[in-house]
Amino acid sequence: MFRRLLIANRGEIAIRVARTAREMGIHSIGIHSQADRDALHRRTMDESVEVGGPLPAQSYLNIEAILRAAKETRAEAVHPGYGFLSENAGFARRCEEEGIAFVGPPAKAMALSGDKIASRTAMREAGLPVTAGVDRVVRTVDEARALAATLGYPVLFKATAGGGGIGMSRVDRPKDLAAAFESARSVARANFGNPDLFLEKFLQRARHVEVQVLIGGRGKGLGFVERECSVQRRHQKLVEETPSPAITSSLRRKLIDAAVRGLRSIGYRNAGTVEFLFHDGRFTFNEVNARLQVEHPITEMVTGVDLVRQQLLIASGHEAELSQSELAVRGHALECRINAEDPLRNFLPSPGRIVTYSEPVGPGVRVDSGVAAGSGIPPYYDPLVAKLVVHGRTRSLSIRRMQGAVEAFDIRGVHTTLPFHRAFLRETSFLRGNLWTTMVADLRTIERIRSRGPWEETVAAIAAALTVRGRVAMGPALALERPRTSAWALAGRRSQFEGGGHAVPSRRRW
Amino acid sequence: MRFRLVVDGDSHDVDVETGPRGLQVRVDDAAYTVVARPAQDTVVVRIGRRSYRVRVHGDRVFVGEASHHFAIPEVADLDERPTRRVRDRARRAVDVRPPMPGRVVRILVRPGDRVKKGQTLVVLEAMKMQNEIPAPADARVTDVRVAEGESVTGDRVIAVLEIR
Repeated sequence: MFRRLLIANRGEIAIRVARTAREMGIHSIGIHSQADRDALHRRTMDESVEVGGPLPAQSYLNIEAILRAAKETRAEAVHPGYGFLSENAGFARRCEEEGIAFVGPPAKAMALSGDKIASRTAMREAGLPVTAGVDRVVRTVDEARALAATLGYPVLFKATAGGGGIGMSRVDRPKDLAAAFESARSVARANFGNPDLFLEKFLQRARHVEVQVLIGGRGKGLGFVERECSVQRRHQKLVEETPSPAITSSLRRKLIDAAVRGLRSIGYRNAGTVEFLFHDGRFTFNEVNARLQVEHPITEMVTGVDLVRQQLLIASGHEAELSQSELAVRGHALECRINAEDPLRNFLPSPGRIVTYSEPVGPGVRVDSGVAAGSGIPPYYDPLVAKLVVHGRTRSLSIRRMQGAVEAFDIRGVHTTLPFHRAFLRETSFLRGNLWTTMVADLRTIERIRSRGPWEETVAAIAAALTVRGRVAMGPALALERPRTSAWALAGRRSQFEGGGHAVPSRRRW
Repeated sequence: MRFRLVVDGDSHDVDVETGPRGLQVRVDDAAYTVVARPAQDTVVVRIGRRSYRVRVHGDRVFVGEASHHFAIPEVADLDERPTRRVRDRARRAVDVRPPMPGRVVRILVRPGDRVKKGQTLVVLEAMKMQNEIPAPADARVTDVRVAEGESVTGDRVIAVLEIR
């Protein structure tokens, strides 16, 4: 096993990986950007190296600076987390060249997974059903128009090099096709440096179901019970659960078998996920995620397996310390993503500084967080600040636990997705297990959010009282003229409020 | 009345209006119907089924047993974007501020340009999301105060427009 591990990421995932490393007696080496000098992940690592400026390209995506840090700190392995360089085959290759173990799949399998068309073709050859679509780059609008007519509307443009829900564009009518084609190309070029698109049939009322797979060095494959991630907005996941309320045990066996077979066929090693769309009683292949995923904790909750530990074992040449029969599921787990975004303003990013931070606790509650009270949330990176995960004996019990946990989670100073979760966890469709990928938009959950939470209601009460007392009408200028209250007077008043002592008479100044 | 209310360091945009069923209080765009009844040194505030006993004292406010520090750094139209600055016959200058901090990725206008309402002036990126900052009205651009690649805070003026 390695003794020194460099974690090439930030925030909650860097901290989560370091936690397992520490448990295994591995020295954790973090990296941070100039904007993250005071970040929690920097303080959590055994040591941390500043790799560059605030922009991702200068720091967390800066391959040479990260490799230099790895060599300077004598790291034997690099864990890339998710996002950033986690699915960059060039980075995996450079690690191999430098003799540093990359905790993830081999560069070749990663490159194939990252090419959406190549992975569709490979999975079809491995015998997996693949979502209806066109397995080549669509070069012109006319070509797209002809192909869309054959597939039938609605259709979905996807970037061949895409990921993270970016570069997808849904088209409902032929007249919108040309504009969607051009905008999807420019988004793909800007985000992935490659404008190439292909076309898929857009499946309405489909569910997003995925299978976590682990493949050891000798090719032994393990498949975990599916996760359902249908609760999304703008193709980005907000709530995930396992097992899916829609999958029967016979279907589950087929799904797991297909996922393991698919990844083995491309020479995949380590942890990966195969995503499927489930619709009309059948599943079809969507894409491969060649990394540890954000939502991996729910699988850990229902199986008791530490996936990062398995990743490190496999990367150091061992096999996963499990057998398929040990992966029986206990109960149900849910995850809510807590992002620094304002759900009442269409998920507008809300960077800033957290002034109050208090996590929920209790049986079956786990919080993977990258922040604490006083943490700054820089505008340069992903908005995910924490993942709230609960486990219960049944789906309805874990939902009730989550309802309590999102009420109790108190984050002030920036807006978060907590008000969305408080509202969404009461949607009848969700409670009944009736999920589909466009449900957040279709149910207009966001438009129907009434309250931000208990703290904002207290602020509303304070605002009303200040208005009634005429304090607002006095304006801010008055605050400057007001003499400072002495500590003695304050102590006197406090004792008056507490019902004891001799108070300074309250001056009716306000 | 619109104002900025800071409670224990947490800043909120607040709007309090008198409505038919009491006060209409908005906190960062979340709306509450509030009944506030002064009783001696306390204000009894009802929101839905919950009730709060609020006591204001200097720069502290007590809600039930809990004590909070508060400040009102801005009152009235200060948060209305665009902010009206000068009234010069029919023309007025308008400061355009971003709805969030971020990095300027593209500037699409130059001083002297005429813009239509809703036309994108600047594209701002924060947290991997691009936001187009639109012109609030038909106007002429008199000044652009940011550069591409620059990081801006939420209260920074990014452009000045003249509306006729």
